[in-house]
Amino acid sequence: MDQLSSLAHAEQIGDTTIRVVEDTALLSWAESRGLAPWDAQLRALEEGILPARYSKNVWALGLEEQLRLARATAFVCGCGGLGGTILQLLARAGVGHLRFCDSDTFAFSNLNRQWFSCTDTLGRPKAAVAAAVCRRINPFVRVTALQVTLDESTLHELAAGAHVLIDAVDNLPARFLMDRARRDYGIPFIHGAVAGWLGQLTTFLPESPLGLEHIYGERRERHASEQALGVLGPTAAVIGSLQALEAIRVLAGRPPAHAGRLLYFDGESGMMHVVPLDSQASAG
Amino acid sequence: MALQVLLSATLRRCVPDYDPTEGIRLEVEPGTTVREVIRRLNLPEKEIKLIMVNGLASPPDTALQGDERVAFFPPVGGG
Repeated sequence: MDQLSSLAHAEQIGDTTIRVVEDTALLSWAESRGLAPWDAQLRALEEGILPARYSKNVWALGLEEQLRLARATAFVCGCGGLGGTILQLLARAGVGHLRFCDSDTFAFSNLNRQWFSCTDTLGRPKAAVAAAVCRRINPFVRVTALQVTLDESTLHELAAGAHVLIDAVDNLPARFLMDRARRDYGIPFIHGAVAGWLGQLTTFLPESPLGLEHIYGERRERHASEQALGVLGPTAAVIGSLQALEAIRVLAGRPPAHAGRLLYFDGESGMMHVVPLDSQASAG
Repeated sequence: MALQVLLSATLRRCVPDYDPTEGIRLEVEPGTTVREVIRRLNLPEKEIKLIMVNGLASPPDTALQGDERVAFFPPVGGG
């Protein structure tokens, strides 16, 4: 049986030389050892061998950071507009375990923005479609997909043990549950939300006294008039992409960029604003 | 000399015939605060998450000269 290092070859990436292994070689090595692909990926990274599919991550992320991503579990709540963008980007980045949920099925009105919705996935469960696409994108990512709603009864199973909680839901009660899980389980929570041309994003660290109430005040339901704004596809992709970047920072062990501050994206004017959350409390 | 007041998203429903390009022209005395502008326009203060005065995030007690561009944004909740 081949040693892992014998499957790797040196590759010049920028000004550094790194040992890399191709997908097919790593997958057959995993199979020959009876290992799951994600375990094989961990072994490779632990030996300083980079799966070739991550070679464009190299300047941005060190090998040690790529290993941290591979060891991490991200919980993404929702597989719609935000979730579709986030999950595809995190699968490509090499986050080792993606856990996600959505109880819904794809409908025509999803097609303008939800990356997992296609004419041939209409009517199918979002979580199952998302799982299949993530596995096609990256077989080295372990996928746990649940066709459930986040509520009191599912919160523990979905959130506990994750290294980051990512908000990709379309309602306030589920968001507030995630924020509670952030405090109860001590997991960073990356909040994102969109409507029409607008989007917002912030990160709540486990110990922060700030919470979603500093954004939504006492409100726990969306206004009908806000739901009527719909969501433009690019708006969801912008906020979802910024959430994925923040998740990569947090999971790689870097400081978050958005803790304590609300980033507000106004796609109509093309402006992004960043406001400290505490000083805005009186307006909320 | 007048303020240019811009409303985003759901706040637009508060002002009939709101023009998203021009916003609202509003004459105010120097020293008028943003909160007074919110009240004059009958906007729901609790629904305003972000206030920009000439491109700078500002609290509601900011005093205005009377010629600024003031923009109001609500939080959003979709996904």
